[in-house]
This record gives sequence, structure tokens and C-alpha cells, in this order.
Amino acid sequence: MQTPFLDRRKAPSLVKSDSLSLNEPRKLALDNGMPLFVFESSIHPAVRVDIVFDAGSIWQNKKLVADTTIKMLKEGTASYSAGAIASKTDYYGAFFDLQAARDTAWISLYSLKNHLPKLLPILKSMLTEASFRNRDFKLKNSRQKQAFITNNQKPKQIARMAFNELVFGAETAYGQTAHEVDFDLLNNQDLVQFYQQHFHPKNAYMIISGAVDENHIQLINNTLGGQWRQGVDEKSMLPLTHVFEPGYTPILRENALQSAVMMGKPLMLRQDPDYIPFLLLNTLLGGYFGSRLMTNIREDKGYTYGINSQVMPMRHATTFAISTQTGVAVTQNALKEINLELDRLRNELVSDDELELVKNYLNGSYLRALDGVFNQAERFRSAYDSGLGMRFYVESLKRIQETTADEINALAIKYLDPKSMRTVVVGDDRQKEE
Amino acid sequence: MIQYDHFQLDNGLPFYVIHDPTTPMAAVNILYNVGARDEVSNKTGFAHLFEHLMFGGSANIPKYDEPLQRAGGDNNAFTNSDITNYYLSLPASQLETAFWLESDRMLDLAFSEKSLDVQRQVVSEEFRQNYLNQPYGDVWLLLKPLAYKTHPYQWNTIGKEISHIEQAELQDVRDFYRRFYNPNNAIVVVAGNLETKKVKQLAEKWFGPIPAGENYQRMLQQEPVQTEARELRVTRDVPQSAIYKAYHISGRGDKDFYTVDLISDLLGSGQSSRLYKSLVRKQQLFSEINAFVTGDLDPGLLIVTGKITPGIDADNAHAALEQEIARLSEKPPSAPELRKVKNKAIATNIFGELSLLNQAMSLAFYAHLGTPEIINDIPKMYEAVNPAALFEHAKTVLRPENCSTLFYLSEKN
Repeated sequence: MQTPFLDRRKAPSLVKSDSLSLNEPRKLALDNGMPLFVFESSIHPAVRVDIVFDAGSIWQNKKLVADTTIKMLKEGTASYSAGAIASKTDYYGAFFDLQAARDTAWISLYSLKNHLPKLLPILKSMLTEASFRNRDFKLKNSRQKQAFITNNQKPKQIARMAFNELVFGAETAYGQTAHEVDFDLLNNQDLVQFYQQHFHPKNAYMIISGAVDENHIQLINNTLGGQWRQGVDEKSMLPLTHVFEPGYTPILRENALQSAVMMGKPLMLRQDPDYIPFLLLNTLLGGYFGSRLMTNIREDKGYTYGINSQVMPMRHATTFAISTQTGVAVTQNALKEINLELDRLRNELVSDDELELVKNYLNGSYLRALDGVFNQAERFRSAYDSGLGMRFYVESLKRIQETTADEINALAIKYLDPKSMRTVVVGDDRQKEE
Repeated sequence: MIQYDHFQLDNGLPFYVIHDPTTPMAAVNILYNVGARDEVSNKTGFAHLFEHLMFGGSANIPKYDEPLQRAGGDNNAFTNSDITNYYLSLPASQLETAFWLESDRMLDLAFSEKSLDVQRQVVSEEFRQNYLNQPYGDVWLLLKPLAYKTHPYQWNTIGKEISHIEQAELQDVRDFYRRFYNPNNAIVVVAGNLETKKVKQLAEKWFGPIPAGENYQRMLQQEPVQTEARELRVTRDVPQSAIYKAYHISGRGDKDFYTVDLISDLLGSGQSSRLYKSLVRKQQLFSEINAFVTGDLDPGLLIVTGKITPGIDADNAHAALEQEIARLSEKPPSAPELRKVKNKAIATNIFGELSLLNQAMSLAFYAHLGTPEIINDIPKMYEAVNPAALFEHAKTVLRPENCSTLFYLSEKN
């Protein structure tokens, strides 16, 4: 067969991509008023149920309370012992995931479609009659403490904790950080109180995604749609007040092979007009494999296995952070290069070519991140928390595509001055003589 | 049910096409039949280092990542003892860009000193970050050479030591590429809302002209049967002492694999497992416990790991652990207990293959095993395991003389 000449140097032409189209979930409510959002798709025989409570750590009056409360839901209820919850869940091939973040805490149930009815009574019991028995609590708490101590030996974790305290303030809603001693100060009554205050239908919403049908929805309403308990106390939030100060915090660890670096600052809220264009700037700087930080510090200099910059939005605060782990001999060099990349963004306009590349990349990554109902349900949770729906993503992507090089430069000048950042280095930043 | 078509190019490169009309994305997975087991013992870590170099530009394309990102794509790769696997996802409309990029690096790589130099450093930092500068980071560096004395599974994918990576030379890179990175030593899976006919046209256009290489004949020394219990004790600056036990089991393609996978689940998968119930919840000798199988293609390992509760003597904890493990060799599991682990394994398999990319990855792996069709048969494989056979198998695997035990002791105790 005669093969036509193939010019491998020439890239295939790119197809103009379709704009993102997304549907809002179906919005319903349980009889007790809890909002219910449904992302339906029968492609896979699986269902996911998320119940999200305004019960993250900003609502706790003692450290570890939010996290331990939600994790204890699996450790025994009035109707099921911890062992019974585990063996029934496993028997039906299901998983419960229990997480607390800063603003919210949530319980996610993953189940095969046909087993969902068997799992709902367990879910109901966890939500309405968790028992927080002292012996279950003691065991869970000591296990959590051990895991915490181990985690706390990791340079990256030490850096993250120190950074967070420095950026938001040690005793504030977003800066409070647990320490080893906090495990000893915690008791099961703290959890009972937090549970009663926060785990009720008026303080929650539900998302169901996957192969759900009307029968499931009816069943969920029958199981969880009544009153959960009598009498609910007012909740209150920890203070936000803190004056951020830039600076440099080295935390020396003798014999360290690497230094964990975190550098960043508090940023504007998600509702701010600068927020979406800043996401584009962040991607360019350190948000993807081809980013400037990766290209320079990993792919050109080989100082690290990885480096990235991140924007982490929360309800009343946003964190910006660059993080990496570098060999101790090159820590100072790496810091110098990070500063150089920040300065370059402030001093030079990004080229049309690079800007187009990042826009295209983000277009693809929005499509990817929103592909399928399980991903959509996940994204919906973070948008809904800011009072937004799926439209947020469609509009964000549109705004990203409209962003100009001048805007990026202005944002870099406004937000990315290295002198405006706090840098934490855990390891050894003393440049060694070779 | 995952639907797919199959065709093979004249140069020996097989293609599988998964049809999914529900997504705007496409996934491409390319599996190369080469892993750390194909390395020589004084140049370990090479397959993985080479994976890094595959992103350093190919004969006609100076940078791999940039054009892919420009097409809205994202990619990554992993190396294990058996395979090196490259995967990407991008909008389905841009599929040809993926074919262009992947075919060029299969055709010929740009071998540059600069790229080798940088990636040697990057991988050395990866070694430090994940294996040396972390609590418990060196566990696998200790455990594998204890369990394997002959087979190349005795070293980890990252390599035995950093010096092996630092000493890699450009000639090694060239030889390795010529030997392993050939169309007849790879498998391609493409997934998305795609027509097989169209995929075939693109495959012939971009991959068709790549010449086949010599067929690679793998001749590895197999591990002799272990005849006595092995033990290693080390002391480290960690908060908790830990125990790691490694039992020899069959390879991933063996019919017994599903049986031994269920044995590991009975022992230590989740909070309803035997080890958790007895040793964590009841006796409180351990704060964490787990059991799993490695899934290697050559005979692999069933691993049991446990972190010991501070204040508990490691030998006492170990004795209790051995006692609990031995129970599975004394009496078959009850029908409900076996039903439980089967249900869980089957559900886990379904949850694991919800995404297009995971489906593509799995299909490539099963095709590499020689049985692509089992991608839809995994539930049947687990269902087929009966309690009597499981009991017999547990008796052969869970013997102390088939086990290597690492005591990873905390300096603090």
C-alpha cells in the first residue's frame, strides 16, 4: 500500500471546542424541608448520596470537635454497634465516607443501586441517634491521635499547619490548627453537644447522584424526611479577625534530606470579580504540568519532584499557596526561582501563545472535571456552598476565555508581590557549601 | 457491561476501542510491556526513570505536554514492576492530537543529555521525598528484598538506591528504548464516543508506519519456594512500631488470584475484617491494620500491615496477629462472611471503573494478561470462589515458613 507522506512535525489542527453545557440538578425537598438535589444517570448501577451539614471546624468551640463528631457516626448508634455498621455496610458492598472541612462536614454513601434500600436505615440511625459511647470514643480518639502524630512527622504536613496558623491566625475560624494535646482535651460530651447543635435537617442539604429513580427518592423521604430530634440550639462561628503579616518562617529539622516549602497569603473571596481571572493566572503560574513553576523548577532545574500553586476557596476566606519539596542543597535556589517567576508575571505580559494554551487547557479540564453525574455532584457541592449552582462553572469558563494579558498582568501586580507573602520552610534552608 | 472492539496493526500493535456515547471526553491508554522486573540488578530504577524521559520530547515534537495541553488534554503515567503505563484524556474532538503525540514517541525519542540530566535529579528528589524523608518511607525498600531473594521483584520501581539513578547514561536510555518501546510490545486502548472505523483510520495513519521491533522474550529467574520463616528488625525514628508480613502468593493471571484476594479481604479489608475486629477494636493491640495483595504478574505477595498501639510489646502484638491469621487455616469462613467479602469485592470493582480513563486502563491491563474479556467477568471470578477451596488455599498460603516479617520498631519504645 502506498502511504501518503506524513508530516510528523505538524500538529493536527485543533477542533474548535464546544462551549460547556451543564444542566442544573433537579431540586426537591424532603418533608422536613431539607433541600434535595438530584443528578440522575443510569449509565452505571451505582448511587451516591451526600448529606452536607454546616458543621465544619469554623463552628466548633474546641479543636477536633467537628472532625471527630462526623467520624464517630460510624462508631455506634442506638440501633447499631460500630461492628454492626461495618459488617452490614461491607455486606452490601457499600462505603461511607465521613469528612469535615472548615465550613461544612458531610457524609457520603456509595452504594450499588439495588442495595440502597438496605443501607438507608443505617444512614438514618447515624444521622439521628449516634450514641458517642465513651469507650467507642476513647478508641477512635486514640487511633486518630496516633495517625495525627505520624502525619505530623511529614515535613509537608508540618509546613501546612504552620502556614495556616500564620496566614489566618492561630485562634481564628480558618487558622485554628489542632495539636497533639488537643486529643487529650477532647471528650465525648463535646461531640454530643456538637451533634445536637448541627446535625439536623434545617442545617443540611442532600445531593443524590447516579442511578436513582422515583422509588429511591420516595424511600429517602420516608426514611429521612421526618423530624430527627427535638430542640436545636443556636450555633456560633469562630472569629475571623486576624491581621495577616508577610514574612519568612524557617523551621529547622536536623538531618533533613528535603525542605518542604509553603508560600502564600489570604486571597479575595470567590464572589470577588478578580477571583475567576485569578484562577487563570494561578494555572499559568503553577496550576498544571506545563506551568511556569513546573517548567522552570522541575523540568529545567531538577530541584524538585513537583511544585504547584493552588487557590483554596472557603466560605469566608481563600488561601493562595505555592508548595514544593526540594533537596536541602537547592532550597535557597528554588526560593529564588519562585520569586523570579512571580516577578516575571508582574513585569512582563504573558504571550498570546501561552495565554491561548492555558485557556485551552482549562477548557479541557472543566469538561473533564464536570464529566458524568458523580463529578457534577462533587462540583455542585462546592458551588452551592457559595450560594451558586452549576451556572457558576459555565460562567467561570466564559470569563476565563475572555481574560486578557493585561488583566493577568494587573492581577499579578495586585496579588503576587513576593514581599506580600508568608513563606514557611520545614527542613534545612541553610545553603551548604559544596 | 463495557463494550469494546479490537483490531491489530500489521506491526503488531493491538488496539481496543471502548464505546461510551455519554461523554464529550476521550481517554487513551498505552501500556508498554516493560517494568522494573526487566532491569538488571546493578541498574535498578531504570524503567521508571525512562518513563520520565518519555516526556522530554520525541523525534519530531520537541515537547510532549505542550501540544496536549493546548488541545485541552491532561496526562500522566506510572511504572510498576511489570508494566509502564501512559494515559491521557482530552476532548474527543481532539483525538488526533493524542495519536500524533503518542505515535511519535513510539516511533523515536529525542535523546538529550539535558533531559536525562534533569530527570535524574527529579527522580532522585522523588526518591528522597517518598522513600527517605517520610516516616515509614523505606518499608518497601526493606520488605521486598526480604521476601524475594532471586526474582527482580526484590527491588522497588524507584530503584534500590539513588546511585543507580545517578549513574544512568544516555546509551542505557537508547538501548532500553530500542528493546522495549516497540509497537509489538505495547497495547493501546481508546475510549469515548468514537467510531471504531475512524479510530482504525487514525491508528493506521499515525501508528501504522512504525516498524516492529524484535520480539522481547522475558526470561526471569523465578523465585524458589520459601522454606523457612524470615524476619528482619529495624529501629527508626517513628512514633509507632509497626509490623509488615509478606506471604508468597500466585501471580495476577493465575486462577487462584481471586481466591487469595478474598483471603486478604477476610483478614484485613475494612472495619468488619477479622484483624480489625479482633486486634484493633477488641484487644486494642494495633491502631491500624490492613491486608491486601500486590497483584503482580509473576507470583506476588499477600501483605499484612499493622501499626502497634504505643506501650504494647511488638512481640506480643505479633503473636496475637499470627494467632488471628492462623484461624483462617483452621476453619473455613462461614457462608455470610464469604458472601460479605465477595459483595464488597464486586462493588469495589464497579466503583473502580466508573470513569472512562479507569475503564481504558483496566482493559489495557486485562489485554496484557491475555484475557481482555474478563473486564466484564470480574464479578463471576469472585462468585466462583467456594469456601472449601478458599480454606485449602489459605492453608497453603498462610504458613509461617511462607512468610517474611519486618519489625519496624520505634526508637521511643
